[in-house]
Amino acid sequence: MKYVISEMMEELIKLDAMEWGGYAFYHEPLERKFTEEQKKVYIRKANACGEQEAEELLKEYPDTGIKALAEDMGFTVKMPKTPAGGGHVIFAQYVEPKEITVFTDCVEKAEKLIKKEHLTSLLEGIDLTEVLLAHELFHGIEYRKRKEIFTQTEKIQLWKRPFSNRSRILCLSEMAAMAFAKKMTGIHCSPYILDVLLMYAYNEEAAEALYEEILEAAGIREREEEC
Amino acid sequence: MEYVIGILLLVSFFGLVVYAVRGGNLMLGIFVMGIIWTVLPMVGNMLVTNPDFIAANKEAISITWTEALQKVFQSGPEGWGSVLVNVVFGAWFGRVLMKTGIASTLIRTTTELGGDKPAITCILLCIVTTACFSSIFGAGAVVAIGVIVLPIFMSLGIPKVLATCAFMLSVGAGMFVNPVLYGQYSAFFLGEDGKTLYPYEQHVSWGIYALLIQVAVVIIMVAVLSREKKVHSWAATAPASAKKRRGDNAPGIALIAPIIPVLLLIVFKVPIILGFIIGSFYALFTCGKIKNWSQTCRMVNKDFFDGVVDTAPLVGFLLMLPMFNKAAELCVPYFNALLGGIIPNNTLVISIVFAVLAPLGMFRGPFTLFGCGAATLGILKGIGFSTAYLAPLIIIPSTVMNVSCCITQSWIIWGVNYTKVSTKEYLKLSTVVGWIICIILQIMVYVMFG
Ligand SMILES: [Zn+2]
Repeated sequence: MKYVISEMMEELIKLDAMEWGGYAFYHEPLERKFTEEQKKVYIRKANACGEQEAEELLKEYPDTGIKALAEDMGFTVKMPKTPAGGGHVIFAQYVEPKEITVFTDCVEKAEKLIKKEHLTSLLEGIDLTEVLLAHELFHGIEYRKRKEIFTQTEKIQLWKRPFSNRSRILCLSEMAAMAFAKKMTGIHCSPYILDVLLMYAYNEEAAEALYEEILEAAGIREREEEC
Repeated sequence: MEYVIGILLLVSFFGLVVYAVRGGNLMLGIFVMGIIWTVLPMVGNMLVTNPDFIAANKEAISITWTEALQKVFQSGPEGWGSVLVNVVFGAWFGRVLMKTGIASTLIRTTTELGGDKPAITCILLCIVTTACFSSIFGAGAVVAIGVIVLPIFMSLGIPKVLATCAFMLSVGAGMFVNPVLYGQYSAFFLGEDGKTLYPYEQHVSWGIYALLIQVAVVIIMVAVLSREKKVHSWAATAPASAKKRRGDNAPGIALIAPIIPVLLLIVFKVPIILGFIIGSFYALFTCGKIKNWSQTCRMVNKDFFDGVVDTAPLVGFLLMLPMFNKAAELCVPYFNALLGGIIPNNTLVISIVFAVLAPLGMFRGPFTLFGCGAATLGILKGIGFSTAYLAPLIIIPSTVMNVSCCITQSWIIWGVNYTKVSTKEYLKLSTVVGWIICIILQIMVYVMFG
């Protein structure tokens, strides 16, 4: 093992929205289509979009838990146990049009981990379930507002004229959902840290690899070149 | 007496089926079967008294113990050696495609064509996957491409079961013309001189249509099922390998590399090993990986080593299987005595049975050559169908039900674990789709060769 989880968390908490944006674009299938400058603009706009949605909602529902809020908005919230390790761990999902699921197994595992590794002070005030719910809730809102919300209407032309195939940019939704969840739950760091925290609860090596990938994507660490 | 032996053989055969379905280790299961199927007919040969049976199988039952043991335990695995060599070169080629970034560039470029439209992108990626696996073989390559393709499918909102199934069926479609898999099949159809009676041209003459049909069915499946509600999930994926990203910029001209070996083989009849070598060096050259002699040596060495390691899990099984196949040949007179009267000597009936009962190709059952099908083939050979008809008849369920659909296939187990679909859900979809493909293909083969 190369890292201690508390060490990784400490580092990740320091990352700002711009750096997490780098990580989001790292997983964007259309990443090669954008210049660094364009990416920066997109990161800013996506974050603003998520925050704005959160602000509007907070005005409408002050001091309401996310679950109650989601249910009040007409979403069905499910909480089964499900995941079981491996290279691809699913935390939560949203199924169109109104079903939100949080898989409690990973939440329980992560909470145990937080206790065991004394991460409580580091992750002060973070309710994992709420964060996951909020993220998925954003996708639900996105779906309802798909005609006007930035993350759904912003498109990129993929084909050369006279052909046309305009595509959404998937990572914008993700960044906005994270910004939304951060604002809604009032936590002090990006919800993206859950990628490493929750993965660590299942597979420490994979979490470490993910951590390295994040630092590299955020432009903090150079990748060691292999010959 | 011959009936007693025949029944005992059948009982042991069902024993293997049950064992395989329960998930027993197939390598040793097959080995034990090889022993049983050698001893039983040999004992039978010494004890049979029925003059008709003896007259009918004079040559087959006069084999000595030494000859039988030689045939099963020595010539069997030895004969398979040539297949193994192909597998190793194929795995090396697969490694080169990964290392040079050609595979990942191809996938990325394809994704950039389809964008966020799940059906279009998924279908394009399925076609690319099929193209890649028309040459590449091996679990290592399936995993390497799967960790790129599957997360893309899922980020597009395609349900996990559909994503996994579409990917695995696309891999399987390419296998219809894959020279390495062909090599494994061809070893089931050896003449007296040890040469195959089932040349590659013969295989491709229908295999290419089988490939197209399987891809077409996958496309229809994706087009129909991806219209269901989109799923959006927050999941973390372990980085494929620390060096995944670096290679996403292979030049356009390099992207045809995956199909070079099979193309050379089909069009110019270039032997497959040479095809793999040409393909690999084309890939390395166009990607600018060849700088100087010593660096090239080191790289080729390393890729070859990794390729061999990739095939290692398969080797043990591949070397035990021929013992079982050869032993099955010893049993043919007894199966004939027992079943010869029951099994119709009519291609239409046989084709219908293979179409209707196609799922028997799963769980290493009697319709897959990578399971008990070796025995089924032995029985059918004894009845006297032509190789041109018999080979596709049993290769169809082997490739579709076993290699593309069944969770006893090593890379499918991997895929199911990776995407976390339940095996039940996966099998529900894959069996139905595989079954449909088998029915279409059996009709085609009956029309072509029946
Ligand atoms: Zn999301």
